[in-house]
Amino acid sequence: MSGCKEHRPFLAALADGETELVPAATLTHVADCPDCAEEADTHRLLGARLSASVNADRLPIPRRGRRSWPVRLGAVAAVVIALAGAAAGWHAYTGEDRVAAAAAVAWDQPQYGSSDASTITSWCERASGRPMREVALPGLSPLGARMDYRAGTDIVTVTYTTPQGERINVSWLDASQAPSGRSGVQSRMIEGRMVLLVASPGGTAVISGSAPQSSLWATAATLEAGAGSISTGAT
Amino acid sequence: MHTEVSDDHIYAELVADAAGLDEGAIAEQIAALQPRLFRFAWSLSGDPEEAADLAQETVLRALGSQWQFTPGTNLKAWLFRILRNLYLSRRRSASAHAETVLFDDLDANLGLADCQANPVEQAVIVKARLEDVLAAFRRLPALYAGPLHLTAVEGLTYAETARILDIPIGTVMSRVYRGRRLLLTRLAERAL
Repeated sequence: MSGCKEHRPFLAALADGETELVPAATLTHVADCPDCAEEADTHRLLGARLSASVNADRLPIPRRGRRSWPVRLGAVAAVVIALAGAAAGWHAYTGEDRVAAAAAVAWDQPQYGSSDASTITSWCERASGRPMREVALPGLSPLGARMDYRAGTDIVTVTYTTPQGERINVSWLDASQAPSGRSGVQSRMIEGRMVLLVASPGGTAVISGSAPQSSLWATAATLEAGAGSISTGAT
Repeated sequence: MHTEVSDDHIYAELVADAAGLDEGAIAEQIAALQPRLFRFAWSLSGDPEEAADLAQETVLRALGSQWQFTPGTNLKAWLFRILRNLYLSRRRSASAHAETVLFDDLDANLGLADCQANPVEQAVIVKARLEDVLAAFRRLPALYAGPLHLTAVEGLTYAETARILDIPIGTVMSRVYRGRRLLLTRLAERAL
């Protein structure tokens, strides 16, 4: 389609949801141009992969040489403060608590926005490189998805909204982390909010959000029963 | 009797004192963000050793100037801005022209001035291993890696990114776009 050239510099911003920065002419163009729409989708995908790759990279322990005292002071400060009060934050970031990590990233904005469960599932599969189940939850509208790699786990979060506009996040942990042959729901309080861990036929999911606890429990029950799974992705 | 007290011990006490002030809660939050600071520093500097130093020095500076932070505002953005300023300061010390080299528009030098996007192959991204994506990202100039890190990895808005990097929001948009284009080009090269 002609005219793509002038619109392409705005596609990354469009993909990032910065629509107020994108000229109206570009929004109109992309709506009618499959090539530009695909490139915008590619930018979203690349953003998700980039985020996952940086966060998947383990923090190295740099070699310690002789350093100037401001640098050493910095090192000491970091150690002392970390020991004094930041253990929880660090643990959530690099430790083994996958539930806390999932609950934390779930509050970030979706990297891919859509109200269509099928296209969200497709995006999740491409972003994570693993088969995903398409999940429809009664009374909830899909809002979008994001993919993160935290705490040694591939976390795919699909966000839904209730009719009242409250948010429910369903974070699927890497299938390899799912306990096989088990089901059940456990509740935890993380930073003052209830989070539910669901072992479902579709895998292990962490449910969080701003919706009332009753809505979170209802979502957990639906997932645990496997009722929300419409179809199984390619295996 | 003379007792030798190591510098590290004195500094540790100073920091512990600082952490024990009313601002202790902020101190905890600052320290908790150190892994993120490290990753951002690595994206800017391309060197894990320098990144560790930058992150640590940022924590220290932040602890020493907590009074400058306004509670209720974005602590992460504040810390990233301190780190970015430290990074630039070091570069200026290393070279009088460092800022020009790093933050002037290098598009022409990178061959991107006339970059016309070919239809992008999503397959390149889908097939790329995360380590390949990371390797390609680590080779990006700070000019592009900084905005890309803040938007894609930290999920900050373009406006927040512009404030941290002290560049116009339109420049953020341009650098994010061109950084991604460059990343795609390099991933495609690796895939060949």
